[in-house]
Amino acid sequence: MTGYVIRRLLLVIPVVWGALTILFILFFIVPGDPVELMAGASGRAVPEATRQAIEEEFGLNDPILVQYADFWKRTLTGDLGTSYASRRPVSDILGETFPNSLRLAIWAIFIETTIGISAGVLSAIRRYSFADGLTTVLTALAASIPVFVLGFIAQQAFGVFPNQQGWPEWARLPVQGTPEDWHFFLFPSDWRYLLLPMLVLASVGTALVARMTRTTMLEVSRADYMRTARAKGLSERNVVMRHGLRNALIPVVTLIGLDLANLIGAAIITETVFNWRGMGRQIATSIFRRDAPVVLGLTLVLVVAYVLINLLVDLSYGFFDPRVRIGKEKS
Amino acid sequence: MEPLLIVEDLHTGFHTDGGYVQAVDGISYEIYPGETFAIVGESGSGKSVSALTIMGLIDVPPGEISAGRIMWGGRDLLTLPEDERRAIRGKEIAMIFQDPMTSLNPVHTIGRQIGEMARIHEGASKKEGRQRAVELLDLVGIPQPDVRVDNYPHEFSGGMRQRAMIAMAIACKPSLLIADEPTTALDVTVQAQVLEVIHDIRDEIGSAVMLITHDLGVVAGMADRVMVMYAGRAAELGTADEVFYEPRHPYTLGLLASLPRVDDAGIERLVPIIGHPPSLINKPPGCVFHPRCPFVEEMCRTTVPEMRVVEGDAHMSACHYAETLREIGTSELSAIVEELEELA
Amino acid sequence: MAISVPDRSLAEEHIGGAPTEPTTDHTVAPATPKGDVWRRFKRNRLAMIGLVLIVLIVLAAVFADFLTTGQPGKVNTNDANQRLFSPGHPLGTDRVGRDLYTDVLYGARVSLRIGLFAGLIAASIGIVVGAISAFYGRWIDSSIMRFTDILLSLPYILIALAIITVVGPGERTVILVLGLLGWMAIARVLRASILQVKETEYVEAARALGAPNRRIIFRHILPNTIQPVIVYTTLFIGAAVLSEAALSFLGVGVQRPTPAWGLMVAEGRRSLANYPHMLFVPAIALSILVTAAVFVGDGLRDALDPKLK
Repeated sequence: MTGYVIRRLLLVIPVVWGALTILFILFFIVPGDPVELMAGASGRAVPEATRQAIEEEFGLNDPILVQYADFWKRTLTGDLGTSYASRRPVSDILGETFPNSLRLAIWAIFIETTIGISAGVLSAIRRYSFADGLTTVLTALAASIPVFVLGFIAQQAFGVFPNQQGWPEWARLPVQGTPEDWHFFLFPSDWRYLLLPMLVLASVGTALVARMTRTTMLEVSRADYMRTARAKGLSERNVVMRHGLRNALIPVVTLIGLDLANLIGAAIITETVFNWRGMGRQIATSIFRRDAPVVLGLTLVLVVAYVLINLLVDLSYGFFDPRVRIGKEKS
Repeated sequence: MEPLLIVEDLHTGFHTDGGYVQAVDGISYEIYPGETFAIVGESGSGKSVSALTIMGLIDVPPGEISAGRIMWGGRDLLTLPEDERRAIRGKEIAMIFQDPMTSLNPVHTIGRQIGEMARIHEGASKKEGRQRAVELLDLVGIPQPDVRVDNYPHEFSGGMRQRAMIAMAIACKPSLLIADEPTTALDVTVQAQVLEVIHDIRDEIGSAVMLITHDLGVVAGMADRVMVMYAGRAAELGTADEVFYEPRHPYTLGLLASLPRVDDAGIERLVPIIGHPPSLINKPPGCVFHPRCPFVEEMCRTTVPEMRVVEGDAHMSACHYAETLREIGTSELSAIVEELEELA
Repeated sequence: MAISVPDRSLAEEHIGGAPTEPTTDHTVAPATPKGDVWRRFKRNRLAMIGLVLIVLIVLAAVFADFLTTGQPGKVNTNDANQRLFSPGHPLGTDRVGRDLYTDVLYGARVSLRIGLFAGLIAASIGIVVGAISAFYGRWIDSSIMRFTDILLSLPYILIALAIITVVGPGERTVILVLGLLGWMAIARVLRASILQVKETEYVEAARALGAPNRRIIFRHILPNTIQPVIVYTTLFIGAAVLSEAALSFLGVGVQRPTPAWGLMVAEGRRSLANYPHMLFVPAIALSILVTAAVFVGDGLRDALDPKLK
């Protein structure tokens, strides 16, 4: 078992290396002058001396391979570089944005798990009922309305409109912004800032989880062991909950895990709509500005997080499904 | 002796896209305490469906139990409310199924699944349940039961799984154990072992066994009485000896004749039953077997034969010409069949 | 009511299907597999609704010239900010006077093109890569899968963003980028499917009969493994349409004067407080198309896998 984990951990390395190399290549095809970015202001040309100085400092003159090697050398010692745009260390920027992205992602997963699975189970139990039909349509909609549209609608309905109508403070939700103050990492002092972005980000995932849960529950209900459970005299509720659910949730859990891995980076739209100070938005802005160090540094963290979370999901698979446990002897 | 179970004129069918499938079409039989009663037939004969109806495991809809009674302990099971049926299910009447791999829940340990019986029906605690599971595993011949009890189904071999299923079924000492094709999914050598387990258990617990199978060899070894089913109807019913040595229905005759036998050096070809199984939506009129019967007569095409006593006091057959069959032996049957095949 | 699904398998076991008279013809012609699939698909109401909607959208896009006299993307500041049902502008106009009705119609072309072509690219690459990986096995398989992992570990939208920023926005770029970033999942799905089928007994049987490899691939393996690919591609097309919307929202999608629904939503955002229809009209159009694609994809999945009824 530990051997397996170690092997998988080792695999992280080529993946991260490959991903970053691809990014690096992308950035060096980029036309766009980082020097401009750093020193140029209001369209005035950058004085030659300054240009030289900056290029020296950031090694922009060196051949690509040298820059590449430098990048890895720096990174492996923990130095993620300096932003071209703001001259701040990338690690600072990381420290500001990563926790926020993580918080949003965790809350979104929480919603997906609770609401998604319950909706899916209910839908499967009351198959063909009105509730089931409603859920099918709602989940299809949630999966097909663009996230930013959902975001705008939410902002309008809960923030702008009440504001315009002069509703009292407690009936309104703020439309933008990130809370500064958090307790136990996950609980903001002002939860109202968290509510909309969390729900909007979770919308697509919840829909997918609900659908998948419904599908697997239906598949499972046809299984022979369900018939055996009934033959034992178990009540239908117990048959479903104790025997069916455990099996049906196996693929769903995988789905949720993969979603978590994706969510941290994919939240860019939600972050933009709600002005949430997260990594996605930061990277997008930096891409536009050709601020390579920020992009590379933050993406590196994203990639590592993605791969590690995937690994965790794979390992947890064995916890849920005894048939794939590694290292167990078969008779 | 009073019968344990009385099935009267049972009719179970299913609504499907193609039409209404009458899977069980007027079956009646009785099972006595402690006996082994075998129901024999091909796939599609309705044998499993009748057992599931007794257990109350038929989904209604699309299933429909249109007529009949199932008497157990003086009550008609078909009229009982669900919670009372559930109390009986597993506790008084238990069932084991054909494929033990898929019939056991892969994510729960064997011990937990067996112990569940004690927990549901006897209010046992988890620990007590596990203890009971260990005892039962020992009873069915699983080695090292105290270790094995914590294994998962995929860690057991096929034969062991089926034994575990048996252990699970007898956990509450049911008066009737229904075994639906218990050996079909197993290797031949393992089959014999599992059948022996069932046999021993029967003696140990004193329960009656309803053995459902298409394998006549299995029946010969174990059954006291046999019922042969075809297309949802009963063809013949009697003691094992009567049915095997003095068959009184052409279908039974055909079944017996089509068995390859080690001692029958004379017959070179296997004698098949010509034709194919009928559609259960559109059954042939009259005797449901008549299109395939080598002895078919005019009456067979028009009138449904009643199940009646044709020999002794309890040997029954649903054939208009049951008495005439007395004379036919397997070699004669093969000659008749050959003729018919040449004509076809 | 029990969760138990109608026990069709039990009932189906009982349908003999043979004629009642003994005949020498033992084969009863079953419904052709293709006809079966269509029949099952037809029964799924949501899937049929989805199909109808898609057909309507396609027709509207194709015949846009006949359905409107306006020019797509034509700015006319005199006509700005017209509400719904205004004379001459059934769906109103936007901030700079572009007729929403016309733009939605022509925007359909863009969305459909993007969805279809991105889907085609992703499917083509995905099928080839997945098939090669599954058939050649061993280290080719490992390296391809490793490479796929690497690509998948990069955040999708951000990479799309990066590439488009480099290359420059526009419809062609969007199609290429979406296609190039979408093939991985299809390759994986196909590979998994092929690996499953490769080891089944009927393939072994075909080999035992001496069938040449190519025949095995085309007649036995491919028909059975292509199904999840079809389902996935359909869903991918819906997702591609949404991705284009997201990219347009971020400013790197299709550019004006070509109308694109995603772009129109982004533009409509500014007037959301006063003229919500500017955002909602294209948003609803987008949602209808994607929802329809999802229904059809689901319907296909259910129709192709009878066990899932």
